[in-house]
Amino acid sequence: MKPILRSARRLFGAALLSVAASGAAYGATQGTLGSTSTGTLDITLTIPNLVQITNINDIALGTWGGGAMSGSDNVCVFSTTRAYRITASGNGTGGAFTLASGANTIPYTVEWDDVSGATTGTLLTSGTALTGQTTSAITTNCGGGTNATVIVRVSSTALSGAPVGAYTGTLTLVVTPE
Amino acid sequence: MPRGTAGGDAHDPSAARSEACAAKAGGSRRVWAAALAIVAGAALVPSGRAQAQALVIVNRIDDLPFGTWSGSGQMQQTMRHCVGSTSLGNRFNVRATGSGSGGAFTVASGANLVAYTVEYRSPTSGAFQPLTPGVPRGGFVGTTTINCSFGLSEPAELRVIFSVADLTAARAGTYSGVLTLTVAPE
Repeated sequence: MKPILRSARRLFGAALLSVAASGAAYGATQGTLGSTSTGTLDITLTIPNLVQITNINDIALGTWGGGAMSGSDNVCVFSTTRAYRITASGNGTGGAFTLASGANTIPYTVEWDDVSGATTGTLLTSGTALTGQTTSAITTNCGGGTNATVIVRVSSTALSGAPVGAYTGTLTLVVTPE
Repeated sequence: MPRGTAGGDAHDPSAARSEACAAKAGGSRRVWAAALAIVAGAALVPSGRAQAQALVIVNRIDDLPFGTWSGSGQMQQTMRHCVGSTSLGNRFNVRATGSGSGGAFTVASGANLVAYTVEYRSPTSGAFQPLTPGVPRGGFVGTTTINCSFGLSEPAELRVIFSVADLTAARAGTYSGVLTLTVAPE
């Protein structure tokens, strides 16, 4: 009986070696025969730099009645880095921040704050990124909420010099992870 | 020969099936099955009264490289592997432990973590069953062989899932973790 057992154990050793040699991917470890058996595997995952801006609404300034005009919109910015830069551009010539009514235009300014509900922000230059903005959003749509503010202002000077008309423009906001 | 009690016996049906499978497979496969049966039998020898000690083995484990999240949807992968058991009915339980704090199922990138869930099934256990870190879950059935070589290839399945909520909440980075699987006879 004993020789048989020794022989069997040798065979088993060879069998286990065979399993190990035929082996699994690098990193994983295989269990061995016993009253319990333990193996391990590595799990790897990459979260890339991703960003998204949502909850954007149009800004309607209404009808001018004298003085300056302004409007704002609270938006959501999500970033897997929790940091981002914002670049704005208008649809005027060369990306200028202008509203148009036919050939007539009215310039406006744009401010940004990485807090929702802000009444003032950092003045943006068309096509130039404002860096160092942060977000704590952990859902892409901020759970339906907002965490940043874009503010549009039209000066009384610009308005008083503009011919009568209905003016519109498009403001494009581009967020980039940092 | 002594007769074993519940929990494993060299002469239980699993061993008999093992030998039968070996006979069908022939050649080196016959050697494998014989080795399993005889080593299991050796565990019976030291005790004056029959006390079978069932043996198990988990192997054919692979890593789970999830790659890069696209930014939408959950991510999941299934890893098929082998669990051989000499217990009655080849039954076994499985305990999974992650490399997170307290054995949590998390992958890490520095101090940042992403949680995942682990599920497990064997062909006869039906649907995937959720595992709790460090807590054995039973009711699974393995094979009679130590490398699933007798036509019952890699019957056990482990599924790891990253939810879209956890992926979205995760900071950018390359995450890694180790998942430990321990199987025991039932």
